[in-house]
Amino acid sequence: MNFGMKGDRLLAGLVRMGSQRALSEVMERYSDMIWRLCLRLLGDSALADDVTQEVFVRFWSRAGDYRPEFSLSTWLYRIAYNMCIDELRSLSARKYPDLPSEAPQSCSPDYGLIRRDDALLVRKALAGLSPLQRTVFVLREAEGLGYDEISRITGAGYDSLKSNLYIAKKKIRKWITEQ
Amino acid sequence: MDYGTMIRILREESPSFPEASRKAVLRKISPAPVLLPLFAAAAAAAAVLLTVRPHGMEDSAESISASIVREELRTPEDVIAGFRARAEIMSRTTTKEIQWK
Repeated sequence: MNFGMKGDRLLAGLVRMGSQRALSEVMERYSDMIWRLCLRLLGDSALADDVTQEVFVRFWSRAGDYRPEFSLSTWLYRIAYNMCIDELRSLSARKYPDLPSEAPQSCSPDYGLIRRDDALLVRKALAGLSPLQRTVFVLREAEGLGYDEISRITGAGYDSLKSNLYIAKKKIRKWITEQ
Repeated sequence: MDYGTMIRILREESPSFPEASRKAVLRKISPAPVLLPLFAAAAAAAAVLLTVRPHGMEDSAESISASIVREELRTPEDVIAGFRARAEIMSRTTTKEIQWK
């Protein structure tokens, strides 16, 4: 999702000068996608909620760090990815915390169209992947991002991303056949 | 479930970040810092510039940003800076751009 680099720079500049309205606008546009990434990386909606909040608090406090050659969505994804990795490290295990027995409570009406059992199965399948595999799989397959953007978000090179995606797909196909 | 179904679920699943959590973010952030004078003038200039735009851009991030700028900048100094910026921009605006108005 990209609303134009000029708009991104303006919004980031307004946040930097202390406009809460601008931060609200940034959240309006980007918080859902950031929350989805956090949820899929962390596997826990409460944790994802906390981290997503911290992503925007950090963006607010360090808006001056924003580099205009990045789209705002990529920049926020970068913050979210790094915070999720830190969170997973602090949990001292590179795997999901205990999976909840229900799909996230805070869901849009569309979410109801998807069977909750299926949504849980998807999250369990993702649990078997490393954080980078999970990230590249989700951003590439679900969010439709290109390798260039995923590389900017994760800091991983093209070859690494391709091989991680290949392994992720292989693991998921294997996991599905074992169910 | 097959692989294709899983991908479809991933793409169609659209949980939203709760409104209460957005409000929590606004409560957590510190009070607005003092506006940087130079940036304020630049933002005022950007706001004026963005009033010169073709139809169809009303919903863009740029136009929304401009409306935020207009709301945030209310001091006399900002108004004067805005007039100066407008005069400077209008002096550089091409005939084609003027037709947008």
